[in-house]
Order: sequence, then C-alpha cells, then structure tokens
Amino acid sequence: MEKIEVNALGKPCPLPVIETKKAIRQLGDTGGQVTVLVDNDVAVKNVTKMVNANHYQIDAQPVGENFQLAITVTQPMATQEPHAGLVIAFGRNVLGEGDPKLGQILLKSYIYSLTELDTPPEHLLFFNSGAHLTSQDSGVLDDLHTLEDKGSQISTCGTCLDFYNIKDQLAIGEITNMYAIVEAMDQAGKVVTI
Amino acid sequence: MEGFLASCTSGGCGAKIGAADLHDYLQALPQQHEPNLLVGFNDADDAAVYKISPERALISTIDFFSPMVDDPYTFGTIAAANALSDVYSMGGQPLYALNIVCFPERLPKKALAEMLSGGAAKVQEAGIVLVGGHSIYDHEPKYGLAVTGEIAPDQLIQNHTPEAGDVLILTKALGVSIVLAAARADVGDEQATAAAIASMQRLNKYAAAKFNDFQVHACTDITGFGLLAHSLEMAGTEHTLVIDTAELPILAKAAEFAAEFLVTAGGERNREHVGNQVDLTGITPAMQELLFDPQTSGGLLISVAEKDAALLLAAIQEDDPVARIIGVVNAREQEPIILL
Repeated sequence: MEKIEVNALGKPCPLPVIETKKAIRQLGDTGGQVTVLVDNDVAVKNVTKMVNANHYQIDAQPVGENFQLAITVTQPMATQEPHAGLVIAFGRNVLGEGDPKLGQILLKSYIYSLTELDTPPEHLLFFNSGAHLTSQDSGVLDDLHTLEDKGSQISTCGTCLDFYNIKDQLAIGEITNMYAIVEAMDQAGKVVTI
Repeated sequence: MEGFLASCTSGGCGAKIGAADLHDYLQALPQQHEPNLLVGFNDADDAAVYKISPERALISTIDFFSPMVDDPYTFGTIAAANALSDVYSMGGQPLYALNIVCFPERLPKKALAEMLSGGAAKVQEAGIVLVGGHSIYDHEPKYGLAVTGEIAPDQLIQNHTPEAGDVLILTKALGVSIVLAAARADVGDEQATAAAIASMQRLNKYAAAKFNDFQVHACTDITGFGLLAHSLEMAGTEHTLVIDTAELPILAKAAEFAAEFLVTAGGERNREHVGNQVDLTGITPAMQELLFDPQTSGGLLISVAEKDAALLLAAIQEDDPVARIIGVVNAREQEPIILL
C-alpha cells in the first residue's frame, strides 16, 4: 500500500487541509495511507472533518506536543448502477476543443452516428451554447428528429434559451430546468458529456 | 441610466481580447532591446516598468472598457479602480493618471460628467492627481485611465516569480461576471449585485499596502482572463500551483447562478484558452465556471513566503475581510495547476 507523509508542523490553516487533500489526490484510485503531522487542535479538527466528509478513516494520536493523523484512503465502493439508458449532455455546440468550424462538423457527424446506434440514447440534454442545437437555425435538426422518432427524449435548458434570447426559436423537444437535468443525469445508466 | 449599458455588446474585463489571440497579434510586433525596460509586453505582466535611475523605475499601464453596470458614476469608479490595480499588483505607488474616454454623442452629457467624477473619486482615494486625458465620440461608452506609478527596481513584484513553498492568497471574491450576467438576464439578486459592484469598486491599494513587511515573491491582479489563466501565468514552467477550490472566496449567489449556467462569453473564451492545461476532473461544472469567470477589477493573487502567510493574511483581512489562503506553490510537478 502506498504511503505519503505530510509534515504540516508550523503551517497555518488551511494549509494542513490543503496538503492532506493533495496527498490523497496523489494516491489516486488505488488508495493508500496518508500520515499527517500537525501541531494544533484546530488543524486536527479541520483535517478530520475533511476526511470524514469523504468517508475515509482517520486515527489521531498525540505525539509529544504534536498530533499524528493516520488516514486510510480506500477505493470508493462500487455503486450499483441502475439499469437505465444512455444520457448525453450537450453543454456546447461543438465537439472537442480546437477550431469551432471543425467542432461543428464533428458534432454533426456525432449526432448522425447516434442515429445509427442499435439502442438510441434515452435522453439528450442541451444547455449553454448547446441550446442552439435544438433551435430553428440548427444544422442537426433532421438527425434529432430521427432520434426523437426512435424514442430519444430531447430537452433544452430554459434559462439558457432565455439567456441567448432564442426561446421562441426552439424547434424540437421540450424545455427543461436544472432540477430535471440533474435528475435525468442521476438516474442514467451512463452520462456522456459533450 | 437608459441606453448607457444597453448599448454595449459586452462590458468590463469580459470584453478583453482573448489571451491566445493577443499572443498571436503581439508576435507581429518588432522585438525590442532596451536595457532600461525591466518589464515589457514580452513578459505578459500587468504593467510596463522602465528604469529611470538605479533607485527608481516608472510603472506605466492603461486599462479601459465599456460599462458593465447601468449607473455612469458607478461605472467610472470601477473603471478607475481596475486601471489603478496594475500598479498595486507590481508593488508600486501610483503617481498620476490620465483619463481615456469614448462617449456616444446621443447620450446626455450629464452621464459623461457622472462617469468622469466616479473615476476622479477613485483617483482621489488613491491619493494621486488626474493630469489630463483624451476623449472622442464613439457608438459605445468606454472609459479608463492611463496610470503612471513608481517603484524601486529591487522592490518590483512580478507575476511569474513565485517560490516553491510559498502560500497563495486571493484578496477578492470570484464570480463578478456571473452575478452581473444574472442581473442582466433579469434573474439576479439585488444584494448579490450590490456586493459584486462594491467588490469591483474596491481599490487593491489597501491589500498591496500590507506587502512591505513581508516576503511577497509574486503578485498579479485577477482580471478578464479569470483565476485559472492568471494562475497558469504565475506557475510558468518552473512551478505548480496547488489550489483548494473549497477555500476560494466566492461572491454570494455566484455558485448558484453558475450552476444555472448564467455565464458569459468571456468565461467560455477563458475556458478555451486554458484548454487541457488544467485537469478539471472532479471539479463541479459550477466551480469550473467560477474558475473561468472574467473578473472586472478583481483581487490580487499573492505568492508569499510560508512563514509570512498567516501574518500577511491577517493584515490584509483588516481592510479586506474576504481575503483567503487558497493554496500553495510547489516545485514543478507534472501539471502547472492542481485543483483540489
């Protein structure tokens, strides 16, 4: 098991917490042990709070005038995925980073490819600049209609339509809100974010 | 005021030309070799610094933008506070300022007078004099200052010179553009908007005045490029900045608005500029938006020796209680920035 020692003696808050968090991050997915030395009670409490909030284990022992905190970082328990479909979240109107023209071409091709899947995505969510994709002037409406016909649900964030002033140009699907977006993501078998 | 803000396409530091674009345009300019020029635009620092004697250097900076608030006087104060900030972030003292003004002929001259008196009030608060300026008619109002300051060359604080083991302090809360975007979309919160405006009006003078007794190795003011782009500049190629997002000072309601994606085009430009240089895994979308949010007249990001961090923070908090320790500086690891 990998072990990392953090010497936070003499360091003001919130440095002990920051350095502990960094060590835990460094352990990665396999987990391991982080030992933290601190010299005051407040640091013990703050590190303990952070560790408990993340459901790791901590054992605090006084060492002379200081404290040694032994933190066991375990891999998060594999959660049972509910048997549900694919949810795709379009937070932008391009695919990938780079030239936006290429990004638009790639996104069009991506959405076309979705129509070719054996099982269509359960739900397509559009927000921020992604809201332009469900709008009248979108270049992907035909493929979205094909997906809708195959049973995909299509929802666009109302706040975003308002913000970009294109609510009256919505050409497909329904208007949704953040609560419903969160719920759809939460219940999804798999969420793909574009 | 009717027509003041509404005529503007994008206001405040959010209107800045993206850092990547700017880099390309500056490539076209001739390389200069002037030994007295301590900091020029090759350094991508906050202001130019020119040595006029072994003990004295001039700091020279200009900043202006279009309104991000409706009230001309308030806009004047924000534009001036923002322009003065570059002198403070380099550890200098401002000496004098010039107005730079663009104003639509169709708008009432009273608004122009109010805008200028807002700026003058901040110049006065800085303890310096306004010595002139230049004004033209334009279809959008724009205002700012050219500020000249001074510093002893050996006291100069640059933006890319942190030391491993330093502690990072941020003096103002993030999220001003998000809060103002919500207000402009008519879904804002009156108190949150007032807090964002007060933050932008606040001079960085008070925080910078506390540097004297402490080993401040690097400092920059957070502007339209957002916290992450400025942090990348500070990290350079030699250091890694470890930033704990749980410790960041954030304006009331800003996180809530960010979760509703009430964000700006400037924020998206900043995200594209930073690209894949920073690993955002595990950072909530709302927090990401705050990290990229353009900060008009933002706070100082200070890299200070660890032994001085707690004392400097306490001194700054006397005048700027929102200031926080947000992270540490390490010798370069794999990534320039580690977000916790």
